Amino acid sequence: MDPLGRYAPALCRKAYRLLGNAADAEDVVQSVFAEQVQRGRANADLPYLFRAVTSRCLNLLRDRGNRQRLLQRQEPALRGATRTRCDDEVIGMDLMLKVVDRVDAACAEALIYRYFDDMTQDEIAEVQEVTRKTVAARLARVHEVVVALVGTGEAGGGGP
Amino acid sequence: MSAAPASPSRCTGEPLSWLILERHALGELPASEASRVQAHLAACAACAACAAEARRPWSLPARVTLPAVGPARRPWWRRYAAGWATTAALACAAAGFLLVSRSPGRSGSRAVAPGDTLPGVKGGDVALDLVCERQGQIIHDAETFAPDDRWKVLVTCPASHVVFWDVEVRDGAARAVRYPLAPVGPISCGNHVALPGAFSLSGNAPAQVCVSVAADPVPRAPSQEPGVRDARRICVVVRPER
Repeated sequence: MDPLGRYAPALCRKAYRLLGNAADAEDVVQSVFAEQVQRGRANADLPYLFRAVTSRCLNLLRDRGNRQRLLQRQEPALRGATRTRCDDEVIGMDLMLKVVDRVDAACAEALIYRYFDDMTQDEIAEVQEVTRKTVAARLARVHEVVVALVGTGEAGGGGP
Repeated sequence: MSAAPASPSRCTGEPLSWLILERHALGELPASEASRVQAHLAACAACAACAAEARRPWSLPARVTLPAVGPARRPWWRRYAAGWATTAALACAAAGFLLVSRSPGRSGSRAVAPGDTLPGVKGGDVALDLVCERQGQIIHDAETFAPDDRWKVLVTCPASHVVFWDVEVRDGAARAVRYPLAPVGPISCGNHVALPGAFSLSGNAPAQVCVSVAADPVPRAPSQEPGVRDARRICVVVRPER
């Protein structure tokens, strides 16, 4: 099977965890594949494609025009077990959107890898091509924002 | 705050990431790593449930309309593989056109056209501004460089987007390729967003500074000629001071 087809289910599941609905997840993966083919990179590996899908999803989530639709369409009950939490808080879509608004792009990416993809700091460092120390600093920033949001009662719902 | 998790079970230790689980399901992990994963799955119900999920095929919902590709109905991702040769040919032709239309022969020219788009980002205009600091003065659109100059790259792209980037310099008579900045992560778009870090230019020959901005991570491919790797590469040529 061609590499892109081989990875499609894994990438759809990944996008689905983040976006909360299958239709948008498939659209994102489709756009990533189209881009890979256009660039002549049909042999991209799974970690690279994971990062590409993360980036696309974040672009979609940062667009306020999409947010209401995504929140309405999400199927949180189908997200599955949440194995990684931030201070015992499940990072659901609503909280994630609020955090993403308050951190830079690199921190937002680290947030996704940690709390939606359950990656360790070492894995995040490898995917983001930075040191573990940098990852720790990015996650500390995320943690700080989550704590502030929870403390002020702004965290809201949206978690599974 | 959030509701209770969908599954009451918690990982017995450090959860196996979805990337690991997916690669395990695909048989891509090295033997030693696969053994570690197997051992963890045998002891952890939460991760075992996720591993089972990773082995499940992703079925396209009926609402997704797939254009017919031959007699058999194929997943949409296979259409890309099938159309690969045609698309690659078109991409090469487009890259060739961009190479001609964005020739670096015009010193200091901004090889950015209105309507230039980011790959995969609808309506994504992108512009490049090369800024030089010379003896305490900031010079925009500098066309010449001196050894002590410090250069920074400012990128303008649509707010709300997050893009990956890299900067490539070809300088000196040998036109050796180097990557003077470390793209530690993507940037949030906006007007004149400064890429982290600064660099200098040297040599007696014109230097070409290329910036790649893309919705996906930008791999480094020093063996390829400028413009071939990625149509979203924007190049500027600056000359040495006389």
